[in-house]
Amino acid sequence: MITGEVAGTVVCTVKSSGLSGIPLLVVRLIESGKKAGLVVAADATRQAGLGDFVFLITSKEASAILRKPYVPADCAIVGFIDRYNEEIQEDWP
Amino acid sequence: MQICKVVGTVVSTNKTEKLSGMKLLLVRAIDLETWEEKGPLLVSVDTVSAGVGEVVMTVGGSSSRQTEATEAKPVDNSIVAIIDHIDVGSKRVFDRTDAENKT
Repeated sequence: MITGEVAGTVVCTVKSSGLSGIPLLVVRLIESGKKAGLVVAADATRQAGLGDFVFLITSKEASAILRKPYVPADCAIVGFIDRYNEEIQEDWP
Repeated sequence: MQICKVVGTVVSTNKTEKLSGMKLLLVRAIDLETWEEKGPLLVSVDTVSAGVGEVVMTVGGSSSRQTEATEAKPVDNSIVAIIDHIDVGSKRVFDRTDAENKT
C-alpha cells in the first residue's frame, strides 16, 4: 500500500458503469516524506476530502475492495492516516 | 488510474481471436503537474467509445478486465472514462469544453 495526500478531483460523466457512484480523486503520492507524482484514485471510503492524508491500495485489489461486480479501478483510497513516524535505518541495503 | 490522451487508433486483422471486435486506441500518459504528454505509447482497449484527441482515464493491469467488454480477454490496459474536468488544488487543470473550443 502507498501513502498520499488528496490534492484534487476528477469529474467524468461518460464512464464504465462499474465506476458510477464512486468519487475519483487526484492524490499526490508521498514517498518517505517527499512529495512524488500525482495519480487518480477511486475513493472506497467515500469520505476523503482535499488535504486528507490517505493510504491507497493498488492493482486488482482496488477493484476487489469496491465490491461491485465490475469495477475497473487499479488504485483506491482505503484509509486515513492520523500520524506516522519513520525510522529510516542508515544501514538499509 | 492514469489520465491519458488518445493519440491514434490501432487496426489489426491478424490477432488472437479473443481480441476480435475490440476497439484498440493508442494512448499516452499525461503528467497532471505540467499537463505534458510523457511516457510510452500504449495500446488500450476502448470501452466508452472515446475518440482521437480526447483526454481519457485508463486502467492498467488485471483491473482493466473488470468491464463487461474486456472480461476474460487478454487485456491489460483499457479506457474506462472520458474526462470532463480535473481540479488540482483550487486550479482547474483541464476542462473538456475549453479543450474542444480551442481545437
